[in-house]
Amino acid sequence: MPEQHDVVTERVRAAATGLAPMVARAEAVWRERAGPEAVVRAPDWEQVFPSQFYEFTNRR
Amino acid sequence: MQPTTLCNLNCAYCYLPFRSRDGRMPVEVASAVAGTVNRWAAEADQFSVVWHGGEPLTVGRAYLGELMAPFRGVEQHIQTNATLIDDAWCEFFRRHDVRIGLSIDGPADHTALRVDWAGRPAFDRIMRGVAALRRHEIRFAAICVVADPRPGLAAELYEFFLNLGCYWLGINVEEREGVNTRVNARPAEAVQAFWSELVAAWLADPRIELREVEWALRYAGAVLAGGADDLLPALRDPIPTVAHDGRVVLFSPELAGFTDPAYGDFASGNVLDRPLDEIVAAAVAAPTGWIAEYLAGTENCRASCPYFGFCGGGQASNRLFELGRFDGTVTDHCRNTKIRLLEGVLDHARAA
Repeated sequence: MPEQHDVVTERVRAAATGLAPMVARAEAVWRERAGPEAVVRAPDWEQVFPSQFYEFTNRR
Repeated sequence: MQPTTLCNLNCAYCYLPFRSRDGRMPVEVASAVAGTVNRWAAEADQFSVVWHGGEPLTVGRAYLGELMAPFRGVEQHIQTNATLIDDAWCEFFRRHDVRIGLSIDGPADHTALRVDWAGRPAFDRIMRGVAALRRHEIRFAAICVVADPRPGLAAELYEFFLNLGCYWLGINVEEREGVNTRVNARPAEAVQAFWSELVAAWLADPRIELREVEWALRYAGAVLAGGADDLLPALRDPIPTVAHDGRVVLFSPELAGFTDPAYGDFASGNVLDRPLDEIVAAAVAAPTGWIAEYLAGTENCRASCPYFGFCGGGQASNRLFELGRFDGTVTDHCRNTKIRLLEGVLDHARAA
């Protein structure tokens, strides 16, 4: 079966003007956290939705 | 790892059915788990073992130390309500290099649903625990349950957590789950405005790692860069949960300890009967029962929901407790925590 998420991705792209500086801000935060040798330290999906009643993070 | 089913609190929204009883994990269960986990940890850069409950600290330092002792090369985490944390516990955390996650829902009036068995508010005791952690310079994460997401609340909560001093924050909109049958259908506009306001608060002062908001921004960034298809993992981590009696529940820690007339006890095996790696491997190689239905449900989400690329599919426990089965798709939890989150971020972007 085809995926349906193009509807949402199109709406995200339609908000690009406002989103781009927000994303740039977030990426700057992640670079700062990760240190100069890492590219990014953003959360992975598995650290967000699979279980929400405890904290666990392998981001260091 | 569930060291005990017992909790010293009786929060109004708690989903756990046996939190008034001390179903305690024997050391033999921990040793059996470590037999597999120590090998897994040796092969991974980092490997987390999370002790949750019930309230893990109710078993006491000596016993929790015995349960942790068999593990080698793992990062130990405790998710706690913080009410029992004192200097002695902080020394224990230091000695065992334990990462701490605590549960608090904001200022006292927003934490009012966290009460003890006599109905007394737990807020002051939680804050004493936080003070001990800060005294010992132990960093901590926080989980915040939001029972009534609405405009005006997010900024207040974020300010509270900035002052609390946590390094990481997860926001859980209250869920109808387990023995918590409180309705969780919320007005879409209010929930969306909550998330939109939270995004704004984080962008203004991003000192805290903010789970949901940062994921939304990561997803948005990937879409804009044309790489959103690479965000979801190709293989789903079964995140094995080991209940106090050794039963292993995969994919959904929230189901540990529950039984259902149609699905049984949700366990894929017991570490006292079979090694954990064999339990996981067998269940994943040939999914049956509720796991097969849940995996089919995830494919139903993929085929029918435009938010799948963002969310990865509805969670098993929410499907069961809201829809009565695992192959249904959208739940109120999806709406509150995923759909409205992304829409709130888009609202903020469009208003910028």
